[in-house]
Amino acid sequence: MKNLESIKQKIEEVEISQSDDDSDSEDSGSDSSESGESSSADSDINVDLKVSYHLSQEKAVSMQKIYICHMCGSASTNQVATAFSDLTSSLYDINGLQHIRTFEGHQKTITNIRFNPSDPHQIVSSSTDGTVRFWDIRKAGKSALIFKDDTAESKQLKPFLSFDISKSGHFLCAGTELFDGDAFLVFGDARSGKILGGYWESHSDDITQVAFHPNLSDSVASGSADGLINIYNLKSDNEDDALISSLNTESTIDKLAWYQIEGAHKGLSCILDTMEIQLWEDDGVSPYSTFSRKHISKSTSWKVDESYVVNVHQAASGDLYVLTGASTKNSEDLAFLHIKDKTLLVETALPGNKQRVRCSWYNSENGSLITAGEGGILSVWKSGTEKGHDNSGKILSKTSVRSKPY
Amino acid sequence: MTSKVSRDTLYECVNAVLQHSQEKKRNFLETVEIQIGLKNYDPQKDKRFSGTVKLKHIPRPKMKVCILGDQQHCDEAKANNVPFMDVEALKKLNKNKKLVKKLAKQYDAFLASEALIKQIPRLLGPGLNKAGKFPGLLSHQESMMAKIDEVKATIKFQMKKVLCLSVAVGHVTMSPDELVQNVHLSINFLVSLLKKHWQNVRSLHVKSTMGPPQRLY
Repeated sequence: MKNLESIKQKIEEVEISQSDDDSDSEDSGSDSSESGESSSADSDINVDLKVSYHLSQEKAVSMQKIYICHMCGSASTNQVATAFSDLTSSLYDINGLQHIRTFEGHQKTITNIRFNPSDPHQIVSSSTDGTVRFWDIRKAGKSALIFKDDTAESKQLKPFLSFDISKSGHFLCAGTELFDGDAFLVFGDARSGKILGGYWESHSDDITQVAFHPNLSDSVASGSADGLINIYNLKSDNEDDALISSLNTESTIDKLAWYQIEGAHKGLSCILDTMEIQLWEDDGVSPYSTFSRKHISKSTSWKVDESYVVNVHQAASGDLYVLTGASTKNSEDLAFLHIKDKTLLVETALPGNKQRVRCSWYNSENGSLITAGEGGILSVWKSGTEKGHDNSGKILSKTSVRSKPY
Repeated sequence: MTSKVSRDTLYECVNAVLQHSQEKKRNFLETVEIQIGLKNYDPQKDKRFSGTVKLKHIPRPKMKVCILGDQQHCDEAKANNVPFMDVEALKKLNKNKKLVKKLAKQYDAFLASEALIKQIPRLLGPGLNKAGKFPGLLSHQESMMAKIDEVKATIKFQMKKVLCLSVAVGHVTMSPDELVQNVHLSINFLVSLLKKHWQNVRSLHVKSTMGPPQRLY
């Protein structure tokens, strides 16, 4: 496969200042060990300080045993797409969780699903069957476009574990499993499905996450089981020059996402397979904040061994929140923790959760959250109390639509 | 773990492994590894089972670590008989793929000073990445020897498609106590990551490289 040709695109000029911020990120022991339960609609609650979330809608969208491992939402069309462990995906209206369409075609595990950022009528999903499929949500039937990398001598397709589409909708970047000793980052034209090139020297193990830079169209980050977060400048015409940084988490990466921080740089939040969180500045030498599994569970008072981390989300305010849960003998707990400097504070519990959550989508515009997981349930959470009134007599929430899942 | 695997069983098992390696001595230092067989776990839909953990006692004492250091770290490395390279030495490699590959092969792991670690892609290209040996950070806030020991004591585990996993947790010249501690710590750690904990464990074995597996659970 040929090396990546330079992608000619309008680039945003960003001043990168020499940062000598190397504040060590030792896991601080100072947590607020507030209980995991949020207070109910008590009259004295200042809703600005402590937002309670309630379960606004919930629907069992698949049989139990069929997990929802990946999902994403579209704020513009108010829809959510889920990838099931039975190799199908579905699209729903967020209001009422009405099923719109099912997409079938993948032959093996679906490893990620996203809306095309430049086209809300298109859903894209990757799979270990070696394809990235583009689906037109307005049409039933087969996928509109199938992308694959069959450039190997054996003609075998490279299994995809991750992908992202550039904001402009022009480029697809997908990461593979270790394939014949190499881990590939494959680039494609997201409109024609043509392969543009790839990198295979920057990671030594499965590439589990791919994320385009939120602003710079020529910058993309990849996360791998080898523990590295690589950041590439795609303007370069060869891999050696394209690799700008390798951030070493010294572990294995489960989830990776960009977020906004003050100043010229961007942040990268990283969830490790061992359920720890690292926060990095994109030009850092080490994470500026680390939260161990122990620290996270201490904040919720849940047992360490029972707790897990789903995602890190960024609110419109810029603040970061950790979505964390715990599977106990009798319950499936879920809560949002607020990251404040090096501490974690319980922001709100998410009462009524019924499953081990595997994926989530946060709408930073209205603060709503959608979760899905191993119970095959889609849950929509909204801030405020259910059918509640605050002291001023204002009705805080809209009517909740709750369909019985069982 | 004590309710599932008693202390006695653990010692019995470890002693059996050690005894066997004594009876049939090999001309290399045998590693001791634990093998964990899983059940009620579907690699296609359950969360990936992988990560790193630091053990109490160094399982691979012969592990070679090279320091890519600033002046201070190079001096310290020299004083401690630890192999090192400074910026100039790295520049001399001229980003030559063969030389970088050779360097990667010479050592099991690398540690780099803050001043250097950002420059690695520029100085060496992706050679260390490809070899799976991108350096860990060596800061001035911690002792070099302590960090080297930490690197030597950290093991990585990863379950891919089959339902069993092998991890090296020690070697045959460790004392039974040390081995027991390492085995105990690793098993507890691995089990804590499983959704159903012990209900996801079908079997546990301990074995030396050439020896027969000794069942623990």
